[in-house]
Amino acid sequence: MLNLSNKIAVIGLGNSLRRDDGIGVIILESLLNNYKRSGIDYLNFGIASFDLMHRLQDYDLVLLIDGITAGLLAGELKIFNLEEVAFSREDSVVSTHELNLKDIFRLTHNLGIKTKIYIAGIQVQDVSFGESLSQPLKENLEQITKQIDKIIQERLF
Amino acid sequence: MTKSLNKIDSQNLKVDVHYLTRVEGHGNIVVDVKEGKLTKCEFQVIESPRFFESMLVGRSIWEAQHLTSRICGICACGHTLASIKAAEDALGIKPSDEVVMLRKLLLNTEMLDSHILHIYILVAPDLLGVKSILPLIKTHRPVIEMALRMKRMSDYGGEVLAGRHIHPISYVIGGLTQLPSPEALEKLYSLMLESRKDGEETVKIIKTLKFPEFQRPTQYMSLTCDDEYAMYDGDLVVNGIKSKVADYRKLFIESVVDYSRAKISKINGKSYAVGALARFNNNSDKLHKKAKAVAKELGLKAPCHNPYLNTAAQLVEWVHCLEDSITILEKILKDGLNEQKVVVSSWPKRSEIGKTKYKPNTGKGCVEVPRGSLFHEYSINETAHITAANCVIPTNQNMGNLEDDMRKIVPELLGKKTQEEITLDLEMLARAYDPCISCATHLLDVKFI
Repeated sequence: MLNLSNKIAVIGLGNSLRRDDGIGVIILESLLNNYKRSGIDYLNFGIASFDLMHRLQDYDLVLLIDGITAGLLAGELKIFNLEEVAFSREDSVVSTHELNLKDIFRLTHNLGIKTKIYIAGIQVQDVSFGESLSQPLKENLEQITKQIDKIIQERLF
Repeated sequence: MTKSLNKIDSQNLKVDVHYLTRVEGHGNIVVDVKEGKLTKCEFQVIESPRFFESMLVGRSIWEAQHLTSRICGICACGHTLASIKAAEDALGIKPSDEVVMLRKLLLNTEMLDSHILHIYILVAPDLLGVKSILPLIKTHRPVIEMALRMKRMSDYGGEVLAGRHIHPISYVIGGLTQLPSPEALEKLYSLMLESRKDGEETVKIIKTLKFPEFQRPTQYMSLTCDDEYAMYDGDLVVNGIKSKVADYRKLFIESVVDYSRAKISKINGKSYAVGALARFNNNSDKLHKKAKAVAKELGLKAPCHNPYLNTAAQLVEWVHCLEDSITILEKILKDGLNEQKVVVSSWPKRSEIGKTKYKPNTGKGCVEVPRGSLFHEYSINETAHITAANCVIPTNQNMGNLEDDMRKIVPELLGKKTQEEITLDLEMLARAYDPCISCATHLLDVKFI
């Protein structure tokens, strides 16, 4: 059942002009068109980086949808929270470019922002310049969208 | 730390900064000094936005601004506006004064947003001797919270004006697709009034920080205009000589270098600078009086030849853009917006694109974005589809100037500082230009544990 006291956001990330990198934004649009649920803000953050932090702190629960490189099969979906992963690039400085989410998360944590963050990561195959998704992602798009909506229903509500 | 990094050596130096941090994008600094001779001095750009030009070819000009806004997550509004201006030039469309006013307001919010990000998040750690903003949360928490509050104000501005804070959707050729709501504009106005106090506090803080001493006179290019501090419109000016935006290809020459994906630009065969300091040097007399006072307080006087002070110029511009935005908002809130003059009603539907006949033409547009003059140029055919596109990005224009700065500063520091200190000075120099090296992918590289 929807906990009305919780503020919830589903945020799509990625560059829709870099093929599979845009998967987060494409799924967000698909959710909006087919599975929109009341009580949730659906936000397209595209290639925004640092600005995401402001929005994270506005919500109790956030689901970020983004492309990942995690050695999975192309198009495979993995839902995780921050405790479940290690980010591969272990640099110790903040770069605002390309949404270095790890740093944004650190910053959010150090500022005492309590938002519970889940990530819906989709393994990408092709992030070259272009607008169409790779075949595995294209084929799985509907299924991934359904799965993510199920997660929204089960974990966010 | 290795001994060589701590050693002062007047004859040899090797700097190889792979993936310079706290800049937008991926760039490397490579410097090599052998037996007192500077053999290599490069700022290598790994990513380049120029692929977008080929992506534009074949697309309808009516959608160009939506595509080009994705070149950069920081300057999305600037790319949108340069794109719209080029398209309007090609199509022969003249926007109303109210539309231009709203565009200037949007550009201001982007300038406010980017400058404060650069000052606090990217440069302040250098000046306070830490590696990133993260340790500052413990030592300077109220300041970081203030910086985030200032950023939030400008983010909100983009959201209110353009439909969302990133990749604007309501700003299109000819006008806006919808009017910003009066309530949201009221709120933005209040937030901006509140930000004045944060701006004053920021000036006090920046005044206490010590920027590196370095001088190298160069050429400064920017837009200029008789009646305002030029950001949205005007002629180009360099060395006091004006030229039309339409003639920009005659003004500077771009060339390819083998070590970088970005092109190097030159005017009169020499490098030149664009950005906040260039604008300040060319147009400081047109600044708002409060911004002039801030410049005086910070000891910034035109012409300033210290590139490290680009950050100080950004703060001066932040104050100017805030005051200019407040003035614009006061006018809008007092007079209201005339929907007929702002909202575009004749924008072609998707089904109509390609059916109307247009005169094949080429259009050029330039706006000042946080990092300098940004140019878009499109040629269109009789169906208004793009047949050629050219985008000239400020960071590329600054690249040659940055390298010339490096060529001057390295011999000045050799024998006086350690390799580690020189490396930091070079990183700070590059960061002072606030380089924005194109947006690539936004993937999360993760390992499940």
